[in-house]
Formats: sequence, structure tokens, C-alpha cells
Amino acid sequence: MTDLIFKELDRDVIIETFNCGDQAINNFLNNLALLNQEQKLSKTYTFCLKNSNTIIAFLTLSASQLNTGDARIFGIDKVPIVLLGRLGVDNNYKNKKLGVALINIALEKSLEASKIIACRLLLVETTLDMKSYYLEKVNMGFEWFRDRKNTSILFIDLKKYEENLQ
Amino acid sequence: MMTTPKEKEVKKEEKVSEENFFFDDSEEIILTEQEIQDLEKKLENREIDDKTRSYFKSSHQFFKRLEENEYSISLEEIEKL
Repeated sequence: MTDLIFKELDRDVIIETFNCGDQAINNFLNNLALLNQEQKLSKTYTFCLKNSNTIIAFLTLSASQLNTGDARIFGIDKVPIVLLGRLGVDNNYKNKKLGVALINIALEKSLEASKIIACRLLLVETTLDMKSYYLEKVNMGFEWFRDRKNTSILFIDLKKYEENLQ
Repeated sequence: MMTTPKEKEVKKEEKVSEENFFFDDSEEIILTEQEIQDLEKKLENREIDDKTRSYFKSSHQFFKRLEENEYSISLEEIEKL
């Protein structure tokens, strides 16, 4: 049995060994995650090995908005959202549903936030390769928003999530 | 969220592996007129399929169990998700 603890990132968490295979995400964890958190720019949540406090997966959430330019949507010109900015799973712990667990947590944390300051969407960016996986193969409530060069932006409607929990 | 220029550069060179997410927040997202119309339709549509509803419920229950267990969980339990 491998016991894990879910916790906010803090200075006691061992992050040096973490490698998710994406250098940008590794660098973020090593150089910016704690700094951003201390500056209240983003919040990082982790799964750590309970016996050693070593991080094996994490996600980062922050508040953001979609700008509607000159137009309006529901009478407003900025849609408040939660951005799932980073999610990384250590290579030694891939394919163990840690990513799904973290998305579940992102939904709950976003819902919690929406009850206090209001935010409508949880936004993620994935590769074009994974776009069809999230939109067609799994039923996690993802909806398509926009493609970029090699990626796709998807969202989950937090209102819809809240309405369907009972 | 702060993103360093180096981070952005590294990002371009690396292929994101399947379980990772990286949001490029270096540019503000400004919706086009078409995107506004599409988004409004999607947000007004309250229909949801049974599989997604089931996922939403299981996601919520997973977090409740995590809270009840004081945020301790085994990797084996997560694998059952």
C-alpha cells in the first residue's frame, strides 16, 4: 500500500526529485510555484508520499478572465474563470489516475471558490492529440473552447457541475 | 500566474505528456464574436448526458471521502477512479 497525503505546497514538500517529462512544468514547480503562492498569484496543491513528503503530482489554480472585447456575454464583458495552469504527474506514477484525481480536486476547489467570488468556468489547455480524448472518449464534462497552434483550450462549466452533484 | 520567458521557450521545445497540463497564459484571451455566441449557447444549455452526470457525482464523492479521511488516501484507491 502506498499512502499519500493531499496538501498545499509548502516549504517542507520535497520537490527536487519530481520529473513529469515536461521541462516547463518541472521548472515551474522548482522555481515559481512556491513563490507565486506566497505572492497570492496562484495556488498549488500536491499529492505527496506520506512517509517522505515527496511530491508525486500537483496542480496549480489561479483566477483569470475571458475578455469579450467590445461585445458582452450575459451583460458583462469579462467572464470570471479558474485557470488550471499547471498539472504534472511524476513519470514514476503515470497511468495511476492521479491526473483524474487532480482534475476532480480542481473541480471541487473551483466550485468552492465560485461560491465566494463567482467564477463560471474551469479552463485547461491540452495538446491537440489529447483533445479528442477529453472531448469524446471520457465523459468528464469538458467542452471545446478554442484551438491554438498545437494545443486546444477546453472548459468545464462549474454551474453545470454544481447542478448535477445530487 | 507568473511565467518566465525561459519557461515559455522551454515549453515550445517539449512535448506535453498525456497526464500533464500547461496553460500558456502569456497572452490575454479575447473572445471573437463567434466564440461569444458559441459560449453563450453552451452555457445556456443545461442538458448533460448520463455518463458526465455520473462522473460529476463520483468526482464530488471522491473529494468528500478525501476530506473525511483528513486528506490521506492510498495510491491504490486513486487507481480505482
